Amino acid sequence: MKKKSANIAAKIYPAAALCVFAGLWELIVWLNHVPEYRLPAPSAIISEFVNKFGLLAYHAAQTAYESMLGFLIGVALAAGIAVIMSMWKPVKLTLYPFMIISQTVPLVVIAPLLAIWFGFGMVPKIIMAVIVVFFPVAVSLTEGLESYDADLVDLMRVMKASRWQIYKTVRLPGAMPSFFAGLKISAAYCVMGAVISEWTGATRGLGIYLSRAMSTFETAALFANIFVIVLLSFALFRAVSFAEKKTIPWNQNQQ
Amino acid sequence: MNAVISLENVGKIFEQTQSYVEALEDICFDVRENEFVSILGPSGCGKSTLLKIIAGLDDDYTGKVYAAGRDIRDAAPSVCLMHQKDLLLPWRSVLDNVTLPLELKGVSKTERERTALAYFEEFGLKGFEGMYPKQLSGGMRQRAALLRTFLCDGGVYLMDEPFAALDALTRFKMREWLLDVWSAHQKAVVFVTHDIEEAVFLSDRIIVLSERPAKVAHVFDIRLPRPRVRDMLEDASFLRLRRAVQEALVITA
Repeated sequence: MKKKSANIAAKIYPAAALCVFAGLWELIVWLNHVPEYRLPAPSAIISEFVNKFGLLAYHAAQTAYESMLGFLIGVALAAGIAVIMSMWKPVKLTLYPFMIISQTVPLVVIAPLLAIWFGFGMVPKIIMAVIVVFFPVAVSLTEGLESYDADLVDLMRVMKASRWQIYKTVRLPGAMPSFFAGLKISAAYCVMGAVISEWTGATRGLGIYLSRAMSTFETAALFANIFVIVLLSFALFRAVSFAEKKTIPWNQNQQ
Repeated sequence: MNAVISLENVGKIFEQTQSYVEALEDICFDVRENEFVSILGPSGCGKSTLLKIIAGLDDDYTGKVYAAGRDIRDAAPSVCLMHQKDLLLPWRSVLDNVTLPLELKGVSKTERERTALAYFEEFGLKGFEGMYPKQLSGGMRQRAALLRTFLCDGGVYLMDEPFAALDALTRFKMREWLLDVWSAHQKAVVFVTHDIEEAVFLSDRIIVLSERPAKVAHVFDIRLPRPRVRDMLEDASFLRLRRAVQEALVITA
């Protein structure tokens, strides 16, 4: 009973906060006669969203496709490299510093470079999403694979487990909670990666729509775009959370 | 009787960058078949280190250790280990946890589950087969850990303060219950503890180690009748032994 009401509260509180926020916003715009090109009221954004739904969906589908593909490729790459690094120490010692350095290069610098190298098609967008996804997953899985209980490994050795058996039964499942923590961060940022790349040049996608809306001062369309990007990111995040619940049910904290 | 475990002049030095610490020095003793031997010593004296050496987990020592007559440097000893922590895998059900040693040996799923399920009643785990470890109490988790140890099917049980993390009442129940299991299945046990009462209550023999570098300071034969029951804790003979062991421990510490 208590758990259920806590669940409802977790949905109602943020929803109520959102309503209050939107209400205040509407009120401020209305009272100050703010022109729509500077700050559109929530009602204007909603009507823009409804009117341009077809166009938004057209661009969103492209961005969703790129980010999903980038997410899958990024996760596969990151998982592969994390596993290799955890098995061969020299590989980790070699790669790890570069992985961290690579993260310090701003994405907005990488985006035009990718456009120069790979043109304005889908490839640079997917690569961008891969770059965004790769790091959190690789780091969290590597850390997860290394944070096993040494006493547990000792016990496995006394039971005459092979190195592979120890890896498979202790280290890999034990790394899953940390792996999913990284996945969730990646899921939340992945769409942003694709959008930044689209921004620098594309024929289709939320990023280019956003860029056009900005240069023509269609601010309501800009906000409608942001709303769609948030929705996409959130959907991906929820999908990962769902996969987590299904994959590691033993890790649910009792609330 | 044959010795299942035999230690000859075992020594161990921990080398650090600046200094080195002598942990174990010249330790000799035998563990005979079906014998319950406790290793008692002040905390930090190297009891667990000694147990790790016997388990074959640490080969950086001097002297010789024989298991079933063979030098463990040549052939990895066939032993079962039980730790103070239950070390159950949180992502596996109780059944999948206790069958782990059989799984590692390549026993088929149906076969290993049949073997394990036969013991669930005796180990007080009936009805909990499908639960995750975190759904069980501390005492039950240790019983599951012991069942897993039991299914390892090695020549000796090596137990490193297995009940130290439990509350006093549970710990006591676990001792009695361990003796039941042990007497029903007769195996040699090497039991590390720093609890004097526990050592006297459980053991056939107590080996008291000294402060670092740990040496065998005293060996007590505990000739109290079996089965041992709770009431014996008040007996004069029990108390006498307990005091003698305590004095030996105080002198060495």
